[in-house]
Amino acid sequence: MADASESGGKTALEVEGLTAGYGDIEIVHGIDLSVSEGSLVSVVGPNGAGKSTLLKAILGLVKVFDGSIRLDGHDVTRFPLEQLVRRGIGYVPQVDDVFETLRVHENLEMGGYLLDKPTRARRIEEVLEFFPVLAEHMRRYVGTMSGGERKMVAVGRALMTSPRVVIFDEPTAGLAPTLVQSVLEDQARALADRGKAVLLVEQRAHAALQLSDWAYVLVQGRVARSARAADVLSDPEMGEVFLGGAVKS
Amino acid sequence: MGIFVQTLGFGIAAGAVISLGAVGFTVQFGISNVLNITYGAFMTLAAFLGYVLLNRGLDVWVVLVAVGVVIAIASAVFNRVFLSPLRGRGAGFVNLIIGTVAAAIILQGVIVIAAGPSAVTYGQQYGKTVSGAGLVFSLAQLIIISITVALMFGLHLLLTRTKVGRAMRATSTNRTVARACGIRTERIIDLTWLLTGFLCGAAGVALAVTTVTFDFSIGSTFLIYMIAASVLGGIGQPYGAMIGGLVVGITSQLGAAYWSPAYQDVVAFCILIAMLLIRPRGLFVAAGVNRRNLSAT
Ligand SMILES: Nc1ncnc2c1ncn2[C@@H]1O[C@H](COP(=O)(O)OP(=O)(O)OP(=O)(O)O)[C@@H](O)[C@H]1O
Ligand SMILES: [Mg+2]
Repeated sequence: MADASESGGKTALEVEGLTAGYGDIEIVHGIDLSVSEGSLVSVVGPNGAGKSTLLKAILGLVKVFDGSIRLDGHDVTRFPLEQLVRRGIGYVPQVDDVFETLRVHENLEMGGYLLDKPTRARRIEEVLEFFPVLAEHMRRYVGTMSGGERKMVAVGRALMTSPRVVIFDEPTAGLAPTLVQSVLEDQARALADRGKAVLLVEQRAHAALQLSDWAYVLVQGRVARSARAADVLSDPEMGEVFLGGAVKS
Repeated sequence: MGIFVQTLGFGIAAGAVISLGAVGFTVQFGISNVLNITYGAFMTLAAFLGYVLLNRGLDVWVVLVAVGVVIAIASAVFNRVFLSPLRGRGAGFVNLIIGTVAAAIILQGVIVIAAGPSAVTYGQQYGKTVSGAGLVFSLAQLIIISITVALMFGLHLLLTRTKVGRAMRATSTNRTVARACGIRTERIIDLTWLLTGFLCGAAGVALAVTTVTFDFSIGSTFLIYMIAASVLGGIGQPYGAMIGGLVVGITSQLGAAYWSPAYQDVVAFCILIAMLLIRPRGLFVAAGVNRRNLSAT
């Protein structure tokens, strides 16, 4: 069977038969998913399909009823988020994604909380290389910055631990339409091109799929389709999934 | 002028106790996001425990530390077995407050059962006075003031200079992002409850020593001052609460001296309202910062 691993290097994140939800309500059922190094994998689907719940289950933020999650071959099922971060996952939450009341450099330093001082300084250099614009804003309070700049801080902060797997929850939510392309391209895609395994949950399916290697289409808590992103994009039936219309951008 | 200076002295002494309690209260709120009304009842408990131990002839420093530790553990347990589970089940901000009100009433009731409803008087072993620059302090007041200053300084160093302090600030600002930085926020929150519980306990003993006569309602009465001090300083700001405590202490003493002791609270709270109208977020909240959380600036 064709799977996401054909698109790149070795499998970094592997989810098998994952069933999860809130309280005793199951929201996602038996999800299989994998992300390999150097590839961008998108999870798309209509509102309420369970995309965020799936991410939260992987990240130890909601209850996992069944199934397993492996990181670089090691079982990390039900590990709390802080433990996953220590093992190489970087997480960029949906909207509340920065320390608003801290300055940019403080956000990055906090991102490097686990590191010793010299490593932290070196990583900040690397982040600034990836986001040169941030260099001019290091002393600004993040709360005063624009949506696009904030997202850079959020991603920069997540990159401080030099994660092998980067997980984005709807990075374009709440952003001006003109920024959508650049966030997806210059952040999610660019990180995959630098060898990271990138898992992206996105509402803007069309924009996300155009840049992705692999796509999982989630409908009512189940994987309705797992295929090369280009194939999903060109499949007329997929339009039906999204509110009965064309796959929207 | 003589009256003014002496009143200032009383105000500083009263303010020191308020500051001590308010800093604990505001840091607890800033980091755990729970407006913990039970804080007042824990303070009453500390005052009574302090009273009992002091009457056994124990040294005030020993009593302060011992009661501080007891209340620290009680607070952390209270959060673990009551507030955390409540929050985990989806209790919102207001429901949590109501939960702490209920717990405060129960704890106060337990104190009444154990210690009786009538007021107790702590015989002033620290009655000696020390004077300078026109100010006269009792030895007890001086001890309280120096303890407050020492604890504040320690807290400042903890929050600004240590890894744990940075983790506390991060946790207070955004818990999920803090976890995404690898911070074990559960531990940080336990630590916060221990630390602020200690301040609560120390403040309760300080209250017993300086108030002379008190009953089971002392903590809940005092809670109002501590909330006022916290709000004045900008909720979640330890230094704000410290200054806020002094402002509340001094204004209420000035009100008592120049107007009438019956109106001391009226004066203090008029000033609180005036300050709020001028600086709605508190005196020490930087522009552009609009969330309840712990800041070290
Ligand atoms: N905290 C919660 N408790 C109970 N049910 C929840 C909770 N959060 C979400 N749900 C339910 O889980 C289902 C999936 O929600 P989820 O947020 O995962 O969908 P989504 O695919 O991310 O949707 P969207 O595209 O709108 O973000 C929905 O039916 C939602 O009502
Ligand atoms: Mg979602």
